[in-house]
Amino acid sequence: MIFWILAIIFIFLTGLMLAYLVRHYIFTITVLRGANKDKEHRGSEASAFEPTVSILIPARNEERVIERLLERITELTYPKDKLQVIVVDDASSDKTGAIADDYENKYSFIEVLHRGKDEGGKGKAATCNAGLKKANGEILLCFDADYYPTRDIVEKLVGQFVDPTVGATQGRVVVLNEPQNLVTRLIALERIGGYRVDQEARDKLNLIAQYGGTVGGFRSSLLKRLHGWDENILAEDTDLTLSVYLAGYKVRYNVDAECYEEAVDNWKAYRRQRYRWAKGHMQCFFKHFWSVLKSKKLGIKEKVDALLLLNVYFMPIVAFLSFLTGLLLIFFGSPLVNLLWLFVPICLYNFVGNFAPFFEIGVGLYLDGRERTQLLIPFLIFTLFYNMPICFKAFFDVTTGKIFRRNVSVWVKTSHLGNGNCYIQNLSINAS
Amino acid sequence: MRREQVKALNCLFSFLSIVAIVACVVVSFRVINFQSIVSLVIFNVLFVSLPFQLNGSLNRKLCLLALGNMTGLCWNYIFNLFAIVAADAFGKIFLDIYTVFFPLLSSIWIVSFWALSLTFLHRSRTDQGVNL
Amino acid sequence: MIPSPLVTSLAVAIAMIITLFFLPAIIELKRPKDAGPRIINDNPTKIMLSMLKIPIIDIEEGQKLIYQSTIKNAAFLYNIQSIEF
Repeated sequence: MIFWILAIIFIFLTGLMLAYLVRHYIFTITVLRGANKDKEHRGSEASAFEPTVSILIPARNEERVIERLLERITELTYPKDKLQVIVVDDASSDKTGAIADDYENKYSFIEVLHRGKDEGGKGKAATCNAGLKKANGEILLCFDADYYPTRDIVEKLVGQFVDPTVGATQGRVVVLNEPQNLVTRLIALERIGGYRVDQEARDKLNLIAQYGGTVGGFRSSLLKRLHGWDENILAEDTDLTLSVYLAGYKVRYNVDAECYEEAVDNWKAYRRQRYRWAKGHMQCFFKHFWSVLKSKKLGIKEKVDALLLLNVYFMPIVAFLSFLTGLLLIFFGSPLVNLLWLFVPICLYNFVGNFAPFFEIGVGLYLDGRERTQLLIPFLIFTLFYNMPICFKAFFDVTTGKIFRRNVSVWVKTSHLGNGNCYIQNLSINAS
Repeated sequence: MRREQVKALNCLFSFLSIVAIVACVVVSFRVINFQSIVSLVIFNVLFVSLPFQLNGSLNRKLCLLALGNMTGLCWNYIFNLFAIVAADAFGKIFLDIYTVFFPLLSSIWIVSFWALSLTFLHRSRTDQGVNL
Repeated sequence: MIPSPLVTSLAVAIAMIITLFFLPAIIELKRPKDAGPRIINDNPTKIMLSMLKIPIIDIEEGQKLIYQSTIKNAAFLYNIQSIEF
């Protein structure tokens, strides 16, 4: 009896992992085939489309990075008379507010909203909601303070909204401080897999392209209708993504709309960031699972992809449990497990880093022309094992939070030390 | 005449690569075990379906595929031999340890070789100057 | 229990092979030749197009050639202006 229960559990768990393997395999094939065709000029067909745009920059203690973003904002090619930049200084204790005030004084299209200590420090969602109240553009874009966009990024992101069914847009994130150390190099691999292949494929296949929280934006009217960001959810980006789709709109991804980010550069910060993402995603699962299943605005393939997206941070736990039940079945002497057991490790490699499997990352690197970086792929097995306990802890905290009605939405901010600044300077030198 | 010779050599090389691949799979089945074949099949499926779509001559891809199969065969043979000898010396538990860890360690060679192959295919892309 | 020489040598061989599989990754980490960051350039032609508000689709083939060379010249002039001495 126990043997059959274990066997059924093992087949179910391995089947789930194989579903993700197949999903990512389809994504990789889709992008490979699409790369052979001419690139769509996304946004180019909307070059005459110039709505008013509000750019939201939530910032808390970002004195080392915010100046380079604000300077870059002043270099954007989008007409400044149609641009409104709102810097939300979220109760910063450093010079973030002062730096932003300098730019407000120099440039009429930049505004600063200062939040006091009593109302600030409640997380990014609350900060963005405060900024949303001041935003008067038709389109609202968001950039985190540590980002550095291309000068024509607004046109590329805004161009997607020519299609009236588009509710949100997302651009590509490139790691700026990639050469810094092993952590940043592995994060860069994850980003390449996630943005060059995963997001691109989901957009091409009309699945659930994801708004990533930054380098993206919304129709302001839709965002206000959705009541902005949910301050009780840590992964407010995933939450809004699903809300947009459930409202009958879609998210479009533009791989050409590129922006640098400063990735975390140590394992402790990596762990905190992933823990927040894992908890937030699990919160989104509990919030949207039934809505997705019951929604009449989503087709079958969108529902399947949405459910796979919602469950992605449970998968390291599934992988571990699959490994455990497989072990028990081996000791029971089951012949069944011998075949499926071989798929388990390949599936384990499916859940490395940001859940882009090794072949997805490899193809992404190939399309980016990153020859030697391919060689780092085997190191990703370590981020898998590092992510497993993070996801376990997140799952434990979220479920106990639900059972005991505790607030688990405590935002732990990622510190940005400005380690990417030297690479900006190098790029400027190389470009001139 | 020279063109035909080159063409014939290319065909011969492709044929030999395919023979090597098939030989690896057969030897794997006869000499090692079923798990070994499955790991080679997983590698071959992943390699043929993805890197084969990239730029680069067919010969280069077949050569890499054949090398990968030989690497896998050697790896599986050494690990299997270790398990048998260790089981003989220390007990049957080592065969169970082999069954448990074999797929995990196989994935290391599969991923490593796959990554290395893409590096070689990059060079092929640069040589041909083709945009993908 | 002393392991036999064969077991020891096989164990060492396995450890060496695993290290060998990770060796290219270790070399790339220690002596990176492609450490990034990946260059994301402002495309001067596209920036010029957006500034001139010229659509780049639905153009007749005959006009396309003239148009493209005009844009290239404009981009060249734009870059000249950008150079700081």
